[in-house]
Amino acid sequence: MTVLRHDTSNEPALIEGDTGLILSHRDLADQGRAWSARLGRSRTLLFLVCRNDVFSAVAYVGAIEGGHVVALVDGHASTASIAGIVTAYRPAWIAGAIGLGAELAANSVPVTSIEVLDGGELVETGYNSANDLHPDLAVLLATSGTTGSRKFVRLSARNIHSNARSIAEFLGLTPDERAITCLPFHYSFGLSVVNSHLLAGASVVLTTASVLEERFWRAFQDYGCSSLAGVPFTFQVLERVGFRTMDLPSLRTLQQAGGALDRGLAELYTGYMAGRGGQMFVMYGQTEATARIAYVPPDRMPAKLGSAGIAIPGGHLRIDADPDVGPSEPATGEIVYEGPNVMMGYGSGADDLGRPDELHGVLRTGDIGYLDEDGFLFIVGRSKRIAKVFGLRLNLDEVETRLRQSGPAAVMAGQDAIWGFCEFGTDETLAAVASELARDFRIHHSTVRLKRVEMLPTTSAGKIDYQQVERWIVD
Amino acid sequence: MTDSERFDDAMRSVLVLPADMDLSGVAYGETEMWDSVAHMQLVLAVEEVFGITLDPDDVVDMSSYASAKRVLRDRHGLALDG
Repeated sequence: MTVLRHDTSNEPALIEGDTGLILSHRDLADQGRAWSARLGRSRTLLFLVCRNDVFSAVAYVGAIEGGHVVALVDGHASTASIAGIVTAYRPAWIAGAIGLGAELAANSVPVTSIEVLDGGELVETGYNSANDLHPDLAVLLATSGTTGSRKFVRLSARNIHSNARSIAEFLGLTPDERAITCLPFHYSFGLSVVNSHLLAGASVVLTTASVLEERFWRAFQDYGCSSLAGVPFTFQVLERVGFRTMDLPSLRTLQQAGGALDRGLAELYTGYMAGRGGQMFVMYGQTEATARIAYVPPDRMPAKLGSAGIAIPGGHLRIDADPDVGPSEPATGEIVYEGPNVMMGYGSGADDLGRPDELHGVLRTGDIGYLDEDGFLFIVGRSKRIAKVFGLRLNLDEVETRLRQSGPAAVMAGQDAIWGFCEFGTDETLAAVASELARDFRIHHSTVRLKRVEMLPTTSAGKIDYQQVERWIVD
Repeated sequence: MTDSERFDDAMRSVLVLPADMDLSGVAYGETEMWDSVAHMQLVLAVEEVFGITLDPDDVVDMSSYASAKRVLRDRHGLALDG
């Protein structure tokens, strides 16, 4: 079993906040088996166009526990971009909201049948993906917040299970714990909350509401939630909606990951949780490591404020010191993580799904950092070509490729925005291009800044000289 | 410019809505661009344009064009119609 260990428990596993539907661990196991059976006896590929609801969670659990392969796709993505990914991966099955099958058929996906189920539908396609799936492959997760991106991380059942187990261990999860989803299910951090809680015999409240909505907090109170997980942006919002003055007696734990939290907020929330006898976990991870890589034990706060923490149980962190990127004392360089949760590799289409584990448990994160004398990780730089805008990971190369459809351009990340320098356009036309870009990548238009330049600087090898380009960014 | 016009301008600018679009049905989570990031931008824009500070209840209650106008009119004394 990958995430279900308490399949005879009659305690709640999933609670749908929007409808009040409750599934016990036993119900989830039973319904999961029925789901798996729908997909047939031989291993197959299911594309799950997810929302934070019971339908999506049962389909996910059913597929992986049944030994199938499931790809998680953002349910808010446009049908055209979902159809694009589907065409690249050729899944035999697609599950999602009612109406999805008809929309995909209108976007050239060969839909052969549509079965309407409780809360969604299962679509069969004319593709046959059974033969080329590697035996270890279990889950495919998108590498960035970019909708329409075909680059996925290939994860094995062992990746999912080991990371969920480590997380449950360092969080000290017991069957009494109850998380509420405030992150999307298709996002590795959001998925890790579900996986770790199910594995521990605990429960998860699924809601489509955000922390900005009253019904989110009503669900939190009605179902006695004990924890909340968020990215840095979530904490900015929590502060604006008066989270620290809310009456939430069941709250015990906060989890934060998905980018560096502003030091002031980290201090405030760590102190707030400690003051009410709870805990705040500051963590670091990557989708390439299933989700979690490191965490700061709450009893080391506030002394270790600013740190990304120590390796999760079963994992190991080291620094590949490089005098070109930082000082030698403490030794600074690329952060390398080793553990059973390191992905098998990337994939960008059906042909990649038969490939074996290519990383052998060693992940070069692309992030730059050092370990202090107690072995706590401090990150000093994130990989330049992956940007985080309000907690959303964006692959800058993908943004650049999209922008280059309009002409020569270079894309880099600033503090809170993506900057594109273009050898074309006027203020007016670039504003229109920025809006389109923002829509395609599902980021707010104010976080895309396009500037006209005469000529993009190049290196001697003829490539864009990003070090020169970076000087144009005005934060 | 009246308060109503300034509010409509802020709304259109944050949510990238065309100048001729009817705003009355615009709502958080329903209008495509109005997600949580846009909501926080809208809160900051309203605070800046009107020189006011919105409290947590205001931030949560401004969940549609109509309810945002109600919050700003009833709790902050802005001259907003509708």
